[in-house]
Amino acid sequence: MSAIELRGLVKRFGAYTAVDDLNLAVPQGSVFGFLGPNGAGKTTTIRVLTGLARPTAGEALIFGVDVARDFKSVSSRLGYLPENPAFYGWMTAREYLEFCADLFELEGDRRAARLSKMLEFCGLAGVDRPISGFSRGMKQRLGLAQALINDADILFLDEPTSALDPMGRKEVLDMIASLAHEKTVFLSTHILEDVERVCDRVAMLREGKLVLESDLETLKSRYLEPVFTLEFDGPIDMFITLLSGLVWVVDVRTEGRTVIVRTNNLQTAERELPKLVARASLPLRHYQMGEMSLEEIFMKVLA
Amino acid sequence: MRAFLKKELKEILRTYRLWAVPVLFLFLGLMAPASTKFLPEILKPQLRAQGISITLPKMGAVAAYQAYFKNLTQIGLLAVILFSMSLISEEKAGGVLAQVVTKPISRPAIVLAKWLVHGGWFVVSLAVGAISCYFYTVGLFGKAPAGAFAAANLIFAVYILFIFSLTLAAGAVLRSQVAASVVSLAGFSALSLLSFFSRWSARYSPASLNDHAVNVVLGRAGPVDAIWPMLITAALGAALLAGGIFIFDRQEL
Repeated sequence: MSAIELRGLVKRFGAYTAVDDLNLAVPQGSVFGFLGPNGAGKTTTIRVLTGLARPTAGEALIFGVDVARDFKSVSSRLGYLPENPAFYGWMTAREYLEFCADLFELEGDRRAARLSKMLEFCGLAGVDRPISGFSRGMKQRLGLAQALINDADILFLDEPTSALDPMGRKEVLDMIASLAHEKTVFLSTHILEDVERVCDRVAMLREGKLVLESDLETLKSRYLEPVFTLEFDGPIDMFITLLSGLVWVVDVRTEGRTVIVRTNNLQTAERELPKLVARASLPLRHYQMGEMSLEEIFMKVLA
Repeated sequence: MRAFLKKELKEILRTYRLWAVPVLFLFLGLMAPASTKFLPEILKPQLRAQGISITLPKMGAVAAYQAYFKNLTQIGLLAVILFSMSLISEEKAGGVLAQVVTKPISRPAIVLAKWLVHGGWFVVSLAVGAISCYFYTVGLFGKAPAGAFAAANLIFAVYILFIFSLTLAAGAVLRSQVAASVVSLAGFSALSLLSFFSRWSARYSPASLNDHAVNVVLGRAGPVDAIWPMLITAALGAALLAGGIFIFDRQEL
């Protein structure tokens, strides 16, 4: 059974369709990257899955249970971190986690153990001041801890790193990475580096519609096209002319005196490019072969 | 519900609500006998200086009680609305509730816990005001009726809880605390105005409870005469709260 399943999910706000016939299955134990530009319908989908919004049509299932009909029976098995986690500002981190533990009716040794583990996990064990004085990063870490207080089987994380500085982002990503294989993590984001770092499966959404779903390796192998970067010390017009019309050249981009060549035939490109450079009689300063980044794949798919 | 009862109690203990609500009612309780006793003496020399000669009636304990209920209606009820308008709407608008309701807690339990704890605190604060008013009145005027005054305060407590239910229900339905307070104020004003136009309303509506409380301290009526208006007010308050909970339970957060 999939941890999460969406069957023909539709969510409309008046005439605007935020999520349009979305079908998706998230295997248990995966870290699932839910990608898409702003306004693609990622947050709306998570809000339906967490019982905060009702679907216009279709079903959203968690462990086979339709959340619109019976959210209560699965609520104790999930954790949710919204994009902007909000707390009672007068509470301390410990008090807020105690409040969450009360909501889950955790008692005795288990309660004490979860509280202490989560306070350590979010690095706020020794912080006794009210949450109102916390930095954004501290709130995000506490948000992750409150989502995990019940040892949830599924975690919904909505843009958990989007507003963090590099240090805070690294901390939160390390925390997510440490959950891999133990929990099912549904990670909504538009930061592709984060997906490359922690996710094993991805789905891409555009204007409420699913445009791609795959595991990361398959995605890369399907869309992977070698990219050559050549930087010259003179005018590049002649070299560009030589590249035009060649069947093994998929795309040519220029940035100043740097030429970026995408190819569909690695062996031919490796053999032919140095010859073309020699024919153009251009002094070469830099030559590098690389792979398309996830960002480039993302742009290609969305295009 | 236990988790939210605990949280609301803690919130009262840790925020300005702990002192602000009882201090306000204490102030209203002390101000009424003080103004009843000293206002004529303050006014007398000023009027004499202007050549005006008015014989002011000698005020007693019952007049102090009347002034107390007037203060409660004019200031106390407004304060109840202002103190409670943010209880749900602020948590909704700020996103705190969205995070909380994904956990195993029913939304009606959230509203009921707030009603029990904060409604209880308003009643305790009213008792603080009433006790301070009684003892200060005894101190200034000598003898003051205690039983009738206690009964009148019980009648007024029902009115306070009704206004609180109205505001809490508005906060549960609406997202903005300003909108919640405007709806509560409009409801409060409409009820008060209705008493001028309808005899039935003047006798049985929630707004009539102030008059019933005053009549009890004046000895014009007994507490038994206020039973029907109290029951009607309680039923209306419960209906408003149930309606607010019904809508809140189905709302997208």
